Amino acid sequence: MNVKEYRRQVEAELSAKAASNARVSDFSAKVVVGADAPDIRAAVSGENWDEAIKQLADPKLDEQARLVALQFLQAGTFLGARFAPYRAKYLAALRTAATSADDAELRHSALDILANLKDDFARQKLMDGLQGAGTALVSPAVALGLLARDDHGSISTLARDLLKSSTDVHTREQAARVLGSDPSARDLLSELMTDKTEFSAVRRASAVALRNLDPGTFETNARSILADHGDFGEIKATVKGATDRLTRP
Amino acid sequence: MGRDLKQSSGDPLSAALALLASSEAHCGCDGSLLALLREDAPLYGGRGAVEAERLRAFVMARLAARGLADTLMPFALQELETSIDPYGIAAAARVIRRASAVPQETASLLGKALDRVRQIDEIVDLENYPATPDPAGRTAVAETIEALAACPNGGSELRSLSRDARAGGYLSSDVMALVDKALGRIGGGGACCAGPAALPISATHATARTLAGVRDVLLENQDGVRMTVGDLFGARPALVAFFYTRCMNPDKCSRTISQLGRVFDELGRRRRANDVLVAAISYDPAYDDPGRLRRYGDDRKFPFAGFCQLLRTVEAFDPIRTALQLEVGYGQNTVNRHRLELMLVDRQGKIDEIAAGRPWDETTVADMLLAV
Amino acid sequence: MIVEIALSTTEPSGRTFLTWAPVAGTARITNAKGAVGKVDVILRNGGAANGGRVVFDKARSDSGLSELQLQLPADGTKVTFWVAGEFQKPSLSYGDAVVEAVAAGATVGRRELMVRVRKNAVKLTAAERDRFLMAIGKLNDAGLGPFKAFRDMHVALSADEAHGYPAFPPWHRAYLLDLERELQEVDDTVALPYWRFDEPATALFAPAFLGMPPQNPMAGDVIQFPNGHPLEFWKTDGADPIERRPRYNIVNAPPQSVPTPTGPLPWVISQNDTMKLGTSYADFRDLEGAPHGNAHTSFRGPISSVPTAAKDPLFFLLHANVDRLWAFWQWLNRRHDVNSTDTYSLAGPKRPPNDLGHKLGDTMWPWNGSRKAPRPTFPPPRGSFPPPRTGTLPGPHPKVADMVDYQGVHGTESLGFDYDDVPFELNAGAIVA
Repeated sequence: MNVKEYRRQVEAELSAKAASNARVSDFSAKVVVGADAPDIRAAVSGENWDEAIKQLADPKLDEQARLVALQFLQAGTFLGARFAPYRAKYLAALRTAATSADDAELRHSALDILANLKDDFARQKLMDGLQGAGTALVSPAVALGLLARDDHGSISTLARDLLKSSTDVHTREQAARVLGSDPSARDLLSELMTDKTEFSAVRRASAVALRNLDPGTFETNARSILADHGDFGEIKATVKGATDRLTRP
Repeated sequence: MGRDLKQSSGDPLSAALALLASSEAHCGCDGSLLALLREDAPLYGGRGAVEAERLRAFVMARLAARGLADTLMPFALQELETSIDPYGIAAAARVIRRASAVPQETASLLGKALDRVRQIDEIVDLENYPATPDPAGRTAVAETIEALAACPNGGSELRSLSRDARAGGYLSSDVMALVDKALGRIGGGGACCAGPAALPISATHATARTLAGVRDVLLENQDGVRMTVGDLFGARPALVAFFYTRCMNPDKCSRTISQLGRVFDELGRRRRANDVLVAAISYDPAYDDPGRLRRYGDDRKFPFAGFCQLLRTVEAFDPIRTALQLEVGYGQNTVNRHRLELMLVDRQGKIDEIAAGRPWDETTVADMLLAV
Repeated sequence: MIVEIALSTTEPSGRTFLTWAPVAGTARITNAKGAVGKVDVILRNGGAANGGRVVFDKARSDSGLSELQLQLPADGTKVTFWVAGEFQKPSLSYGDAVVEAVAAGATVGRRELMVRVRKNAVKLTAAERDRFLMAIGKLNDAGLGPFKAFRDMHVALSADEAHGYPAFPPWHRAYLLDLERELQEVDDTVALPYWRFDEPATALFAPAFLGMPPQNPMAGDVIQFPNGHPLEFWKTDGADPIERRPRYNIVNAPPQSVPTPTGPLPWVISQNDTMKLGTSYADFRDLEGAPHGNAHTSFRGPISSVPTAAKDPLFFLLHANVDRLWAFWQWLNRRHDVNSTDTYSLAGPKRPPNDLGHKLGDTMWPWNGSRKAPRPTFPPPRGSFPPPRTGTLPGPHPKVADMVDYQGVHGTESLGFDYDDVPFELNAGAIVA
């Protein structure tokens, strides 16, 4: 398309929307969590962040409103230094939300952000829940998945215990993921990867974890799996993808 | 002090807490208290990295409160230079505040620590373990600023902080009020100077450290070539550091390997590269296979050569750790915390420790190596 | 007769890539077969029917046509012309665009090439999608590839350089271009796709592309790739592969606003609303909050936090869209002249210490190799900026200014990328020849 014609089209579209779309200025006119703000620019402001922090930490408030406050604040963290003065109070509010919310989504969301930051409070709460020492704030699979984000987190023993005791596919899958950062788990992961009676998802997670720890054993297992006419197509596709595409370390 | 920790009285944490609480160790002349800050102290064993950081910060703050701040100064300066944990920096700040004298460099180090911690600030609780921070409590940034205010020559840092933070908007109004208050107290000047300018980079003979008992330990380099410790050390003076490729603090291992490479380059410029050995050995041999060592070095422009290598032990690392008394602790999967370790080994196997856990510069270390 | 066609963006390998920005070319007769004087030769498109198309002109312009008549001296003297990808007619694969020389009805010269631009992820063909996935999977190489540096560049300690202050758009433009050049080392037909976050993108979150987590949130947020997917062994740090769960129904786009007791709150605002942030840079860079920040937090998982966001490959498609919005805004408002404060300025509510890394003449971390505080003091995770295979831009240590006029509207050389819906258009002060 001719660029001048394209410009005419785009400009016409923009001005048409401006004319018909008072909604834009409407939502900009009354924004933020508890405060009047004239536009998008004003939405991202210290007063609004302060107000949102209060709402996030307020157990009396509607869970959906608290979740909106959480996302609003988390978006603020992408403004780096501009959000820095509010960060400490925000983290405190996240910890409150993680433990005070009835709503699973809010709890999970707060723990998710704290887990990204390797927050020790969240780690403790998730561990307590998994070990029965406290309330389980999320399901075992979710708790393990969040803890697994820190490969210096020392949860291998717990993951091994869960692999012994849990028959839930997702919990087992997450436990195998966790062991991908534990070099002493090579043999266990190798067993899981090659065990035809194991869940497909667990075999896959074990294959991914083992390849990280011990590419040589992974490749030996991969060759056996590919040569075994009795093994399943899913795991064959997984190991073939890796052997075809990844550099041999 | 610590609340119910769900620990039996015989475990290392309970023993450590009991020691901290006991009155007979109060004077600090007993090395057992300072030993609690060693990374390889039993109370940190098996814990995750963040958990170990928090526990160590708690111990440091308790020891400072017990009147040991002056003795703790080297530990505090290490934290200010390299820590990326709000608790570690806050605990170091507590030590500075309670010390009777601080080196002149402290204010500048606090300023640098503040630049790191303001991005990751949080409310800290140094009174309890596990921490239960009060939402109305003090943040690591506030602790650092309090330390700057207590620092005899902190005025200049505070003034530039006040200017930059106002323009950049990166400190809360509460903290800005602290800055203003501190500046008001200091006024135009700021007394100077209670301690030495800076702790110099020096080599200290480490009498208790020796390679004698580990000469048969098998090492493997980045190419999979194997040799014993005895083969590697002894023929020429050596500079050796320790690291691991999964290290989360780029100001520790990443920087160490990059700097070691620069030392070797510097020796090459002086046409002395063939006279010495430059090596780094991994704390985490089960994970750091030769491929990982090679990539880690390549990514940091490490000039691999016959006398410039990255290595791991083929079997367990523990004999080396014990023989060299390395301050490194382990969680369940990998290292949970380690000190910066840099050593000179002469032809007779005598070991000098360089820089005592603090960052160092390449030229000075190259000079020291050639002087061996 | 044989006519040799040479284009300035032909790489040492002999392969040629174009974007919307015109590049110089020459044509010359190498075998006149008895012809003397000047020979009429027409340059035209000779590629596949649905392939990429090019436009020609005798000067550097934004109004080239699909054919150009040249008179080539029979003695072999070169004649210069300009060629560009025809806007909205990009290639699907290498060689589907062809510059063809025709004399007296016969084809006397051909040069195969690719009109390679960044496209909307949901509009990629399956082959284009798979090439991208294979390339980024290879770049990651189960945690062992060069991708690691890109993950290490976007961390809390480098936040001042990249976030909150004026250089947010240019720093991320450089970051994406660096990644794209690495992708092209793996497969030179790949351009970084973008996630247009103000439109539905079900194809992007389909299993064959970036996937979805299990339906039941209790099962965790790990993406359930089909076995054999190119990202199945994705690894950065911690336990991988990728975790992500949309907070919105992916049949739709993320909400443009969300209700609160006191009124709606701007969220992932539309492209049109983003354009209305203002016509000066100081106003426009508010896109860093909405839609950018809200796009990140439209998901649970690492992508919703600065220090972990780059663990998720979606991050790069999200940011390609943020960069596209900047490019679109630049085109719409004719903001390519770095000397204009409407194009770039330090104006805004907050300023980093000494504006370091944000002034137009400042080099950017990590490509500048700086280890001096207040920048990170550890070894930079990337070396100098990768050179282009042709041309010179942006140089090994790019400055903020080098990222602004990415098409070379006021220069003569582009950075080698374009977006499918952002044309090249000359504006006041532009160089036309």
